Amino acid sequence: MKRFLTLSCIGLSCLLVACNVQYFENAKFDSDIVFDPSIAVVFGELNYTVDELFEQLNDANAGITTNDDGVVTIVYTEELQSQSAEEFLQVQDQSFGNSLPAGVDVSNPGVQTTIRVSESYEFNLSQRGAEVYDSIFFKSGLFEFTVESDFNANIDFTATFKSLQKNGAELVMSGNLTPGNNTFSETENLNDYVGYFFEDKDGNPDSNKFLVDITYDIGIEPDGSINSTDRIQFNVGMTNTRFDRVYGFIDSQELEVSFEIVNFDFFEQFGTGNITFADPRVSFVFNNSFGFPLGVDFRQIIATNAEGQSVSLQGEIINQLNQVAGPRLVNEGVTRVTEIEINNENSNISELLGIQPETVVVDVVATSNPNGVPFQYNFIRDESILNVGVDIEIPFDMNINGLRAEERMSFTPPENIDDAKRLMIRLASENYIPLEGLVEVQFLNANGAIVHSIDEQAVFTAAEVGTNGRTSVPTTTTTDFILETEDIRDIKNATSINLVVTLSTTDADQGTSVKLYNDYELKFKVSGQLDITISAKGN
Amino acid sequence: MRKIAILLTGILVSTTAFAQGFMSFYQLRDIVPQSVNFQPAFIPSNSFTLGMPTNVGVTVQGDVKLEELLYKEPGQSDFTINFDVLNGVALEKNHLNVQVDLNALHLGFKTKNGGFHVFANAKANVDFIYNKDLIEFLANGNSNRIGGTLDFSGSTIRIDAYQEVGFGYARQFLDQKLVVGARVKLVTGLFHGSIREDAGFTLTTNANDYSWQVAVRNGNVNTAGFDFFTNSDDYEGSDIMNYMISNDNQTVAFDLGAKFKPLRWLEVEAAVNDIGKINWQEQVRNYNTEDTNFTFSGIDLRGEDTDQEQAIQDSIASKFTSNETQNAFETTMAKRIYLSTSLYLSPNDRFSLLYFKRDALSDMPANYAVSYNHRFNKFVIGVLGSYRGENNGINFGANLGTNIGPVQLYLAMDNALVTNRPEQYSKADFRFGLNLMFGYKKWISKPDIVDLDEL
Repeated sequence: MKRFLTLSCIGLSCLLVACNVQYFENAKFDSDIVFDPSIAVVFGELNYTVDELFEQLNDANAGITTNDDGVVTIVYTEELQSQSAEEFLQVQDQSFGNSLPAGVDVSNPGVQTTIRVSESYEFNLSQRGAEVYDSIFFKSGLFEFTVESDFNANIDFTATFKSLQKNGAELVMSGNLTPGNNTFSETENLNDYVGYFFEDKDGNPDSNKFLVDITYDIGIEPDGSINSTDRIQFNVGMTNTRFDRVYGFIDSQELEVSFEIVNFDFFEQFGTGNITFADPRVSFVFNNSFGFPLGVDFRQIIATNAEGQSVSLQGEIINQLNQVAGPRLVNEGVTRVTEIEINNENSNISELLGIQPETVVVDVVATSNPNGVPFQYNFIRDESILNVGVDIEIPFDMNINGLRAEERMSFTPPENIDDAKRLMIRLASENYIPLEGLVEVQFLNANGAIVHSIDEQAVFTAAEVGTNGRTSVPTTTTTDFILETEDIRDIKNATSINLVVTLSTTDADQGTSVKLYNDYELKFKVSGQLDITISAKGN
Repeated sequence: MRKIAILLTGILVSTTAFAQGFMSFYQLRDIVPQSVNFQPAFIPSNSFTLGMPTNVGVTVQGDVKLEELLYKEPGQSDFTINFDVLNGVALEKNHLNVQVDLNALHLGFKTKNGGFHVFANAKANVDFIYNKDLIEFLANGNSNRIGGTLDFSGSTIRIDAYQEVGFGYARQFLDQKLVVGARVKLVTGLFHGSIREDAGFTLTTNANDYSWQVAVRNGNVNTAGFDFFTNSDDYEGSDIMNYMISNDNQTVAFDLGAKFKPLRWLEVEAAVNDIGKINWQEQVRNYNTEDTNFTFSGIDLRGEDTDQEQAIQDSIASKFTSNETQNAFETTMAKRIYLSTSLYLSPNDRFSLLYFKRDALSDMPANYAVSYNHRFNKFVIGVLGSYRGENNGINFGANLGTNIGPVQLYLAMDNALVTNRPEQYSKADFRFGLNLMFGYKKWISKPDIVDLDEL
């Protein structure tokens, strides 16, 4: 037993003495506990309707709306040009005159003798072509009347201008001429005067007639004399006239309505690739309050894209004369609206828009009272105007094949991006739109240089179109964008992200057009997997 | 043969046990008065015992080796916590337990048929259970469970610190074949922290979009006494001392035990300690999260131009409804149950099979051990073997108790090999003490008095 006890004590002692704590020598506990988990988390959702999707691509003048069929439609409206009455028509200056002789010889009558001479005159107004003025309501202008006598006697004269009335009263000018003062001149502001030129001096209906009655009395002294050829010379002038209203016929005159549409920003978003619209419509809208019809001749419409490629509009819309209505006299003051639509049936407009034009030059000649249009009595009011606008309506009934679009957005790397060792962004899409998108992500520095890019991947795939032309079942796509440690280091200096999106509609390579309805949605669930390092001390 | 069969059965059972400590010390229950803290049916061998405040027991053990818990990166000298390492060795359910027992006072008196004693102890326990999913999340996040669920349910922690003073009495019956003991004690809770045991937290990550389905149930954390540390500026220096001496977190608890030796070679024992509940009323804080089950699908990324990172955090936080209250709560003390069967091959040679269960947390497994002790009059020496599962290997324990004159020294270790490269072990357990014992000769026959010269 003694031996057992001794051995036991020795054994226990050995156990206690055989102490080796080298592992703990000179070791300190680093309280900075580090977690480096990989966290998979959803960040949120990005939901787009078709119009919202294209709103993202469109930052300019075009609007996104829905047509009666529920198809998302680009609408583009621009007021192109207007022409006022004053710009269109200026009444020519008028000048006419005549002389009225005494017609009798008188010599030494022995008593004071007075002879009256009277005559009515009818002058034709100066005009262009077949212009006809029946009446002009003057707003301003200068009327001048001059008389000169070659009688050796006193003359008392009166001139009644029957074609000029103010408040219903004819303009009358009178005066006295003597052998020593044988000239007379007077002016009148034509403001508020109305010129009536619609009848001749006999009272018969006519046009462009200016009527004047001249009467003068010759006072012959007892020892005086006159010859039958002695006369007075008178002249009438109307200059610098402006009008409130003009009635008559302005004949055929050209209106300058050529213009250039330059703000096709919608297409600026796109790069290479093809886009074909199945049913685009471009309407030129003429708002005409001139009292005459117009003939519109689209002589040339040329679209030019950013690469300088041009396409001219072809088709019957180019070859035919298009009529723009004007209000008739009974509707004086009313504006008539005429739309001239360019579509696939009368032109190659799809081809023209297919080049994704940046500018469209429209060379149009508009002519008043064109040939072939039934006669219409003309009038022009001072406020008459011809406005020309364009309404472009492009329903998203289209074929897109490999169309590239770019969208740049600012990017600020997270403060603790250094903690990330690996970053995976996952886009899970649910797409009802018959449109697929391949996305390349480019990280750009402040100079616009690419510091890192993630290769193009399919982010959403096109939904199948049913026999009714609509999609009913969404496609789902899951896409992962992965940034490894060195990639994350690269993007630390990025200041923006450029998304390069390549779009194609369903069966685009077969030339199929699809309609994008407004109730289609493209949903993204954005999630990520982050390999991060978190220090307990917050480092 | 029957003895051998029982012994083999015990060894087999012990290979799957998760030991909780002080099992080696329990084998010194014949002579060491502090063993009464585990077996109240203890009758001292001497008239009077004074336990010095040097009686201390410490147990630190887990399911990972120390070098896995305190990891050194290759070529580095400093320790760190490496969750990848911990995850690599984690079991489905993992335990970490720390116990510190201080016997501040023990006064024992022997009577003709038994003995009584008064005592004062201070104890602190930390019990932490973490499941595989929790450590998996800390190491790898949820990326390895995309399309699956991380279930943190069952992971919990309980921290207790309390002091106790009490009185115990043990008496012999049936011609010394039966010893029954009981203790009553006034327990004052000092510090407590616990996650409600049936709390549940699951995180399911959608395989496609990574959305989270989060379920929380019974999210409740109770604490007491920690405010002295977290808001120390609110207290005077003496406040915490006054609190630790006396506060309202008191209860009366009991320890019960019995030994029965029906045959000369067979003895069975049972002890149940720490029967009671502490009603925590002072310095309490409750952190509550309402039950919820939600799916986090992210935020509307097309919303206002805000700080989206903050918006995501706010969105997740808004799914939880939490508050802090100061309501009293009750905890059941960590009851300790010892059951043992001892076979005496001779009066001084004892094989014991030990069952031990400590209910700090409800699903803590029972513990088993097999031991051998030999008594040399005033010496007791023993060895103990335990195997605590696949991560822990075999632990060899040893114990030694001596009564040398009026001085008693003892030392017990569940893992005696821990002194040699302790980083390779997942358990360190020791208990030692010094007692002054008087009048021992009065109760023993003269021939049994040990002659130290013979040793």
